Amino acid sequence: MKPWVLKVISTELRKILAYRSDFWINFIGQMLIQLFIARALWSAVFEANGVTEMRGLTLDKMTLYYLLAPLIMKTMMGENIGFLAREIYDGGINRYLVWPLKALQYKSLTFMTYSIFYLLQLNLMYLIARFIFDPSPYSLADFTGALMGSGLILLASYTYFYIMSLCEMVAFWADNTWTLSVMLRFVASFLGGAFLPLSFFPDSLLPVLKLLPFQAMISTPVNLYLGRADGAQALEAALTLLMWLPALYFLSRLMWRKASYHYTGVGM
Amino acid sequence: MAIKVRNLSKTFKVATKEPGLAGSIKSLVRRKYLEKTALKNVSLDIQQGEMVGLIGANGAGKTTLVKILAGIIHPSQGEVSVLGFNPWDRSDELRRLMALIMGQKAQLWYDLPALDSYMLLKEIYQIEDTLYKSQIEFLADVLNIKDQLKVQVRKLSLGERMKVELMGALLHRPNVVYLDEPTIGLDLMAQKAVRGFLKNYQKEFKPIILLTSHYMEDIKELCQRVVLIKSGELIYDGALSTIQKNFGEQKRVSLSLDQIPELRPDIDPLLGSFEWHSDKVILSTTRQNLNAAMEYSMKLFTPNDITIQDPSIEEVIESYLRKGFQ
Repeated sequence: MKPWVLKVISTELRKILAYRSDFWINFIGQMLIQLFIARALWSAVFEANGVTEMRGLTLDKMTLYYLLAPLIMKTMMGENIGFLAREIYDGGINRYLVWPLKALQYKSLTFMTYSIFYLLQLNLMYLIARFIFDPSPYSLADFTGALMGSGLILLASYTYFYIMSLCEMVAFWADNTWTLSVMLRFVASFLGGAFLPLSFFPDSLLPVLKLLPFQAMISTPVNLYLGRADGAQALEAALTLLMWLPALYFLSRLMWRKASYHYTGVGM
Repeated sequence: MAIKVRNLSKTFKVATKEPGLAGSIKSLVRRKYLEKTALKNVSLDIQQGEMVGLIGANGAGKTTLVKILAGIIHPSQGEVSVLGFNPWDRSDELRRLMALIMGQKAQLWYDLPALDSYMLLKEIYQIEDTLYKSQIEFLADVLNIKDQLKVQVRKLSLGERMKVELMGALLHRPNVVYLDEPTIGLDLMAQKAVRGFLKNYQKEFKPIILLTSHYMEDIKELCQRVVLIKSGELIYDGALSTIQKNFGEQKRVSLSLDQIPELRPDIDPLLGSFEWHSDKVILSTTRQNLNAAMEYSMKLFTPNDITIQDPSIEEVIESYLRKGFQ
């Protein structure tokens, strides 16, 4: 491990913690808003259909699903949109080109630091929400589910970093890639089951979704937390991500090498 | 030779657009590009320990040259060797030996105190504990910035920010320092402090310093050698004093007048030229024509004061960039 790896993580954490009010709004405000919207929406849907369960999910589980899915999505998507494109656009990337390190490696660390931080928030929120919406006592299965889910989210985040980098590096040619990044975020969220559980998707689509990395990034971790997926499914999801990861990694490096020839170092 | 540049050229393809909404819509479908030559066949050598001033108008190609030397961008053509390395190979070994300070672009994290960023730089550059501590102490002391190191960078004044940037860039004691407009936007006191620091730092550690600045005061005080770039071409490389000597033949005579005549008379262009101000007229001439031009002027005006000066370095450079040696 490079000697600066831990220092990069610690520096990024210090940046995240630099603003107290933003930290607490991000931590508590977001959870309450999501909880309120999910509960209100799905209560109405359950009531309108006169059912107590939909596709294997009770109202409480559905609420938990809609609390966890966006949080997992946020965790997996690490640093915000534009983490690379913005710096290419305004020349901020110059510093990584001058420092004796690999720029992409550095950016992957800052990206992952956000994921690690959000993962801690996610697990804390899960503990609280699980207590509210599931009256049964905490069991070993809850902890193993959360543990497997957490591991899978980190692997998903690392994989997503390279997908996102490919998209953000388009800024070397096109300058502005905001729309592209938002589209990617939308597609990943939709196909990962963040907007609607994948059990609601047509059966014919499910085998295709299994081959894409997005299910392993959002749906499987949520189900692991909810106790609706087991170790075998976690392993299968991890293998899917590990199948994508090398290809994305090499493609990103190749694109970086090509792109740096086009870089004009604007904003300097 | 520590820095060797041979026949360096760089062209950029820049998108252009006709003005107005119609031009914007048209550019969505079909975009026109302009080929812009930023550098043309530039060659120069710099020895270890030299401090060189890079001068040129906006868009002359100074920053492009710095970006290439720092390995940020690739040239279109030519060869560069910095301490024996090709800069755009971006080897860690070379990058540990150089630093780039951009007056208009912060390298430290805005949301953190400078000391937090320095701790990261210490790891990135693998600076030994003893060197790190002594550099922090030394730099903070000479830059008089000790008390500001624990304050968020964004809350510092412009001058303080430049000082902490300088500190960050010099922590690893680089052999090559590229300074791009280090005093831009600073007040006179801060400019003086930064200049003083750079002068002493260079004297003590003998790095190569390549300085680009629009403030001639920076160049005058720090650089004995200057490189002039005009439209991407190197038009002069040599001692600052040589330029001054070449223009030493020029004389400026300031004639203070009680009243500026309504009908402003001219002087024979072979003798010199008049420049009119609210309370004086300035006669520009050569040493050779000074007597004749003065004789002619005294027939026209009755000045209450006369001052004869050599042109300032700013005027010399400006004139040189405009016309070259005459």
